[in-house]
Amino acid sequence: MLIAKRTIAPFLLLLLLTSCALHKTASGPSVPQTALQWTIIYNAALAKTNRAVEQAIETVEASGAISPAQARPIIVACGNVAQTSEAVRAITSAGTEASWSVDGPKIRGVLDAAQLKLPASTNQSIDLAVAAANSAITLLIQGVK
Amino acid sequence: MPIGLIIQLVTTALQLAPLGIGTISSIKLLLSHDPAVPPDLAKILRDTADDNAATTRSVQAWLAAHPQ
Repeated sequence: MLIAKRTIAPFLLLLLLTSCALHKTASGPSVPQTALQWTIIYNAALAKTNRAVEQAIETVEASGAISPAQARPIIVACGNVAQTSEAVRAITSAGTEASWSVDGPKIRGVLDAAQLKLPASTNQSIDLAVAAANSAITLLIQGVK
Repeated sequence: MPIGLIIQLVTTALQLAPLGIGTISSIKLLLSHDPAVPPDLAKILRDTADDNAATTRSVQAWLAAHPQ
C-alpha cells in the first residue's frame, strides 16, 4: 500500500479512531502492572514492529520504489534493533520482579549504548513505517525508565 | 512524552505504513493489553525471540544479496 501525499484527512480520522479504540479498553493501555512486565510487552511490540518494517522495506525496494542504496541504512538499522531487542529479551527472560532493581539499569544501559533510531528515506510510505518503529523504540525506552 | 500518546503514535503510524493487517493487529493487541488479565509472558518472550531471529536472518540474507 503506497500512501499518496493527500492523506491528512484520513490520517486525522485514523488518529481519532485509534484514540477511541485505545480508550475503549477497560483500564487503558498506560496502566502499569510492573516495570518488568511492561518492558517485556513493549520489547515484544518493538520486535514485531521492527520485523514488519524490515519486511516492508525489502518489499518496497524489490518493487523499485527505492534503491538498494536507500534501503541499506534502514535495513542495517533494523538488524541493530533486532540485536538490541534480543539483548533486552535475554535480560527480561532471566529476570524476576525481585531482580528488577539490577535488571532495569542493565536494560537502560543496553538501550543507551545502542542509540537506536531508524533513518528516514525519501519514500513517504517507508518513512511512515520507520516512524512506527522509532515510536516503538521510544515506547520501550520510556517504559523502562 | 506520556506512554499513552506514544502508543497512539505507534498504532497510527502502523495503520498508515505498508504493513500487513495481521501484524498491525498483533502489535495493537500487545499495546492495548488489559492489566486485569495476566499476560502470558513466556509466550510473549518466545514470540519476541522468534521475531528478532527472523529479522536478523532476513537482514543478513538481504545484505548478502546486495553487496556494497
